[in-house]
Amino acid sequence: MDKSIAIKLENINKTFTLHDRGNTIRDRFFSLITGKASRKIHALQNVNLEIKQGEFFGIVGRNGSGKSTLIQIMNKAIPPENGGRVTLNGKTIRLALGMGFNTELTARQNIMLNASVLGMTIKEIKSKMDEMIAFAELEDFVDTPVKFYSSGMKSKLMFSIAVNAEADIFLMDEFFGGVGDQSFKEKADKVFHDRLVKGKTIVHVSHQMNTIKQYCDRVMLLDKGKVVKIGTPDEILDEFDNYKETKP
Amino acid sequence: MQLKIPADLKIRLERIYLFANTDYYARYYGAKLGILWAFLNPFFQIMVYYLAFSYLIFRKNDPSFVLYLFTGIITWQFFAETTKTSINLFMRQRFILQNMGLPKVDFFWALTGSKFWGYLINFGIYLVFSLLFFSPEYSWKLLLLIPIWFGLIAFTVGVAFFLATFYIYLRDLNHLYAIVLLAGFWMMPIIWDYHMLFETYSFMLYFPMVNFLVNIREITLHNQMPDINILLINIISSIVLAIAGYTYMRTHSKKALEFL
Repeated sequence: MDKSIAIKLENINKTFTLHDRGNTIRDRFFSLITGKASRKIHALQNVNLEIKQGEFFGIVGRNGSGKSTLIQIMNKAIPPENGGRVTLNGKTIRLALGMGFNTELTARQNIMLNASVLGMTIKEIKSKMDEMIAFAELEDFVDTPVKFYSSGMKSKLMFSIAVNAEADIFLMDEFFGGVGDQSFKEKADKVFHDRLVKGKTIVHVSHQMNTIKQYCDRVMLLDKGKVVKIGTPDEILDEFDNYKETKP
Repeated sequence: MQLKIPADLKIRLERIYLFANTDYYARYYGAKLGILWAFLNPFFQIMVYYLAFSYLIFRKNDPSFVLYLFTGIITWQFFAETTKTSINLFMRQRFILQNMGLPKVDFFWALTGSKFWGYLINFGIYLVFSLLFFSPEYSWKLLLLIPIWFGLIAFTVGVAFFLATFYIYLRDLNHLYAIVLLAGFWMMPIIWDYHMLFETYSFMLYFPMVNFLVNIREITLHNQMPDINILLINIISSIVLAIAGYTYMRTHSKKALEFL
């Protein structure tokens, strides 16, 4: 693949089969009698896309348009249908704020675990531990189990760990733009830009149009699993506004 | 010369260690005595067996029966707990699997590592107890425990690969497997005397779990050499099971995140 391309998607289709029955022996047996059928949901249809190295690429669309499915396919967490191909040029990580703390563990222990998952060595984690805790403003709660944290505290902690992640491509699923109070947002904005944006390829899925407008080089509008248009943020956000008004 | 580990491998090994470590210690979070329970639990367990089988209910003629029982129970516990916990492994780790392209097999290593560490602590308590209250004859043959444990780990992780993958498609599995484990406990020579296997049911010695249980006791209780040929067959078949399980897991767990 051309080295200037970070992500290449070719002929991506994804259909989910929703069973109107459970996944137990009893459910399967009774479904034979009751005839409960399956439904097919076409989450993505013939998506083709190339994202360049160092590009900040936004994806917008209404709920259920296929944004998160596309991100998960880009991350190879779920496979596309036969014939579809995902090519990635570099280490890829998906960042989402609900990324999963072990709530029985303290902030310190969760930092060890999550930062390791994000690609840091134990030595690096230990050397950055105080910095991450200070950034998340959790100095007084560092040895408190995370189950006692408010949702804002959890988000700040996850953000402060995630900005240290080591990868070439970041897939951000509603990751940035809504964390903490105003002073934290300003601080986070600077760190986000300095640590993550510089030199990295970013795919940004968000409903927050201000971050899309502020950061993205190009934006894609998805609707019902299909690519409607790819263009500059202004073009796509105008199109998206029209879309919301005209399409039910 | 210092061994240089590639950076990616180092991060991966450290991650497995951190997961295993967290899994092991998580059992004791919130407990006043914390990690001390890891030692107190097997100690009290062995004391209860000792009192029950030597003085109280059963009054067996052989007081060393407690050692027989304890080695069987802790070895079975390692297998049973690891495989049982593996059933919903993908479900428990789905957030990480969704976000990172981490190899799924690492979660199996972490789980097995954590449980095996617990097994080794139990085994240490057993050795201390046997030295204090009995006069066991230990020799270099204890080293043969290493290949046996290797086989035990391969067999356990092989079963774990299959169970975790089956669970993606069949949610009854944890209930079904509880019944299998119960039946397995009584079919294995854990409580009953394994010597009857040699005479009547020798074919059972070709079943890895039975063979490992028998050989661990032959070495620790009687300082006897295991039948190396049969042991080798069981170790090799366990490795084959682990490879087959890994291949099955790799090919059939691709859609795990769609179902979980």
